[in-house]
Amino acid sequence: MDTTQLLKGVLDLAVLAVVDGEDGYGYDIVRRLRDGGLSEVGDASVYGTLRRLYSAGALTSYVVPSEAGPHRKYYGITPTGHAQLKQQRDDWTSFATTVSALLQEVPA
Amino acid sequence: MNTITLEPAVRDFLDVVRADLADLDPEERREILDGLEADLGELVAEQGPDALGDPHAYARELRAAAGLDESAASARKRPIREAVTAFLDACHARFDAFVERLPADAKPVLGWLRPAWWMLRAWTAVQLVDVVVGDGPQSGLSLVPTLGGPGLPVLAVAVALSVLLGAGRIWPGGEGVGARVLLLGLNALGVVAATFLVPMAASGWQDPAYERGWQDGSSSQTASPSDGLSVNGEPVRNVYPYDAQGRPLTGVQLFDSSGHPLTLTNDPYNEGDGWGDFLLVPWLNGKTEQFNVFPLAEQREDPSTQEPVGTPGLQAPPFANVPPVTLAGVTPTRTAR
Repeated sequence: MDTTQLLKGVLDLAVLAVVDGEDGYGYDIVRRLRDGGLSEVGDASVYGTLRRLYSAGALTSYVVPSEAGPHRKYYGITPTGHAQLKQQRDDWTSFATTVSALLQEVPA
Repeated sequence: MNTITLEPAVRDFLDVVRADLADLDPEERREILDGLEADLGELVAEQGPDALGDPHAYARELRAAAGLDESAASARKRPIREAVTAFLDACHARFDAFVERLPADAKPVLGWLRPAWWMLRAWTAVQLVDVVVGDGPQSGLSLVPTLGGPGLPVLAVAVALSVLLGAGRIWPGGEGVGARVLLLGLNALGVVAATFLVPMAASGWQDPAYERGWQDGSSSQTASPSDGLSVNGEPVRNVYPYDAQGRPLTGVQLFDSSGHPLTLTNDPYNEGDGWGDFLLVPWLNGKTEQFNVFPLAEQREDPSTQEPVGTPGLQAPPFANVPPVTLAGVTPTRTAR
């Protein structure tokens, strides 16, 4: 099964989840997602998602200058993002439970 | 990973991505690209430049994930000016990427070429004006445009304007798609014009005697024998005209197509008057000496005192008669010019 299609649907949720614990910059967030098991997630998809969530007000961002190179852009979660995360987490759980139940009725 | 060294590969990659997103609103684009350099730098530091992959695919993915769908963007038919801007930006990005790859010692040279071009195009513009309104093409171009006098100050002003233009301080330098296209067109015109004008000016400069001779000839309406007709580089001593029937003529007045008298030099060796042993004696229009009437009379000269001796006279022509000539298909009537 093509997991990238599945990933698309839940990338917002996954990104919000990993930023929820601790603020992070783009590549750092990619790494957290991969460490968490989403090994196939694309850098650009994550960065694009971060920008879109930021535009929607779910994330806040701030710049941390670096002496050795270009500045890093950190993202943190906003109350809106929190609410979105909670809502989507519930949706996901309910959706996943439903699909799991459906699958259990099918003989393997 | 605290230290991020900026890889040229990252710059190149980012330039292409930036160009691919050129159709986005500038604010939107800045937002989406901000911080990307650090992220890409870290990726390369960790996994090597190959991890970057295809910048075009990357830009598409970035756009899609950010909800700025490419299909949507191209579906709402982009206005022509945005398309042109995107194209110019993409070309610029490619050029920047090319410069970035040059060896380190070649970059300062490119840096110098820019102001050098600003000077050259100013010079070219003034020369073009000189060619169109001045006496440029006939006299050959001089290295400093003359414009019949104020060439040097005009050139100085042109250089100043060109530099301000290059620095984007005056229109059409700087931003704006119309200005950019206009400037591109002007620069292209300048390149073409310079390829013609530079060799013209260079040859004119190497042959100042030619130009001086022309200017002398044109500025003096009365015949001046200081410089004159020559054949194979040697000054012509005298001219013997014959008519169509081949009979010798006297008192033939010669002019060029601009009405300037065709004259002989009376001083071929630059040592006072005369050809060493004789003097040319001009014809007279009232009291005005005319050296463009042929044949000219000659008068013997005493080599020691350089005083004319005897009476001036017409010398025998080189041929008593020459074969008659005809002009096929042309009726020998003349129309006033």
